[in-house]
Amino acid sequence: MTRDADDLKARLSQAGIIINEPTTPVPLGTPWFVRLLQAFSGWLAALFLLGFIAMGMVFLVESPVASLTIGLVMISAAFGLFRKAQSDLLEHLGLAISFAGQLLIAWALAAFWEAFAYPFWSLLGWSLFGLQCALALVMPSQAHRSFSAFAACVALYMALVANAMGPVASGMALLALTALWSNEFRWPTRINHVQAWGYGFLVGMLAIQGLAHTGQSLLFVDGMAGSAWRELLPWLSVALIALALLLVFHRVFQNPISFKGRWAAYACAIVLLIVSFHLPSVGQGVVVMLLGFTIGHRVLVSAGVLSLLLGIGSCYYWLDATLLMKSLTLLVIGGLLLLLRWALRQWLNTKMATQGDRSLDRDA
Amino acid sequence: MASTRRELMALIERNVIPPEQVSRAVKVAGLQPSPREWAVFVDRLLLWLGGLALAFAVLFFVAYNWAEMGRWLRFGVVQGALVLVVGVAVWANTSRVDAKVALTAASLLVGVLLALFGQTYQTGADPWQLFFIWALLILPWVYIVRFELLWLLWLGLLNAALGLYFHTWGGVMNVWFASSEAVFGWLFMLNTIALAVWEWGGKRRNWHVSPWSLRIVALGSGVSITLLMMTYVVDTTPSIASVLVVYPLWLIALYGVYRRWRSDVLLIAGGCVSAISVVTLLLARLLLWEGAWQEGSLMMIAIAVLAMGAGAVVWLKRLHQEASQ
Repeated sequence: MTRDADDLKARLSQAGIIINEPTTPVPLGTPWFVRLLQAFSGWLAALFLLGFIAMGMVFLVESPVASLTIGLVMISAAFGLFRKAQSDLLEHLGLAISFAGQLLIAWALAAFWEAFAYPFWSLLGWSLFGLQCALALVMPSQAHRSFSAFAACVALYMALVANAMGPVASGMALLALTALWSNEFRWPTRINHVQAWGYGFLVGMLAIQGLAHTGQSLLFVDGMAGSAWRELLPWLSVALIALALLLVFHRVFQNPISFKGRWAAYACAIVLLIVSFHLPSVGQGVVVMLLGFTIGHRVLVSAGVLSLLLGIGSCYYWLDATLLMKSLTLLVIGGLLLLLRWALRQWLNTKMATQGDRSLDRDA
Repeated sequence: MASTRRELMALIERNVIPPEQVSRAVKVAGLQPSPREWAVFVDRLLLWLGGLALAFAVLFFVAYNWAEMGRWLRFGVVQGALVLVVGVAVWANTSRVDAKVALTAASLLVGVLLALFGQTYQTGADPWQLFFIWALLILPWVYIVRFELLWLLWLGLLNAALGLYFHTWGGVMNVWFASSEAVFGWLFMLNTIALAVWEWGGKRRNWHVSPWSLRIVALGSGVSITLLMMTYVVDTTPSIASVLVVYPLWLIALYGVYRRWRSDVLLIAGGCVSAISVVTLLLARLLLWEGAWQEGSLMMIAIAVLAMGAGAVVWLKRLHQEASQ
């Protein structure tokens, strides 16, 4: 037992929370980077396993029905392994078998949807999204849950991009991750599940932003230039960010906060939503940062900073305005933010001086 | 905050806290920030966003390349902005966050000024020169303000300059140290020296260095040596044969330093990813390219990857538990 744990137990006890004797030994925790390594090597092994199947059983690859059947059998076998897994080796094996099975199913689906008139990528994307959501819910492995949540985001992006609605995918991922992380401790027996999905959606959102930033979606979008959905895109993105922001505010306002503070937060939210109308990734980055800060999660705060930087960078490629217009817009936004900060400091420093608190210049 | 979260999670997982009292325990544990912490967070967020927005406004203005605007006026705008932010940094105390933001913006503006110079006078300079001169010019500010983000930016500029130099001149001279493969070797040296200096400064001179900054620099070092080793595995280029000695030494040093000297399991995990990648590539070369493309070889590599991955996970979990106690 560490000193931190003893301090925490003492604090909880003082607050009247019952502290039981531990019923299980100290769990051998798996930090996020070890899960990442697990997913990486599982994926790498799956590629070679798939190569083995493709070379050894050619008829499987040639027949979509056989691919689909074997893929489902492999995923079921992986499920069984996860249920019985008492060792990391078995869990690893389960991951590799499941990933290879998913690739076989994707192969079969691609062959199946090719014959349809509806956009191929959309059909494939939606079917893979359904598969990954089901796996994220069912598979009893933390690494698999995270991976499936991430893969579901990428599949959703693929499906939406084919309908010229790609930018909405990152907003949906944002909403999902905000809902999960802000309710992290709501179901005490399922905290690990919620965290695994939350990490998956977080990485998924960053991946979608990265794809959009490098312009990977443009090939698809150009083909659907006349789509009516295109007009609705900025509004949908803003609506999703607004919903995520409301969830964060709901969490923040569970603690007592002054009337003025509450309205100042709403005013800032409106400014953020106006900016998000043109640059959704900026709004998404700020929401992730706020969420991370609210729940005391440093990894989320860092991911928010990364997302925000991606958002500011994507401003350069925003095609609806000239560089001069962008420059003037940034000038006005920058000036307003610094003015707002000055006003906030005047107000807060006066308040802190009257309460005998430390100045804002000292870090918290 | 991070350790409190970890401890709280451990208590919940071991049923020390009854499920019906978890939400209260979360509040008591103090994971949520206090009003003062909120005030500081919003203050810093507004300052950084405002400062960067203004610096990027100048960058976009120069990128627009306004034909109707004379060169003197364009230089005047950038130089005026530069003088203004440096003035803010001088006016604010160097220890204050305002000075850090101002000098970060000033460092970005130096790059904008150099780009404008190249754009106006068509100097014909190589891109690596721009990044190298940029890094040289901002070095005094980086040194004075001692701000981690600026150090990382400075190191990033040197990395970019080195990468672009070899992109332009790599392979022109028929010597090993200037071959196009050698770029990874030079990047490895640069980042490893930077990492060693930071680690030494943090330990012996009490420099304030966050673990994340060190991890980013270590990533630069690890990625470059791994790519160099992988290049050797693929091509067996004699000019970079020294990597056969350097790479294992790097792995041993990584283990020794971050297991014994300063515990950081994340960096050891990075070393494991590197080793798994290199060994897998080596097996693929031996069993697939140099051998026959047989299904048995593919299965053997899959098993090897699984064994390495599972072994690494078990070992890293133990190290993590030891480090947490």
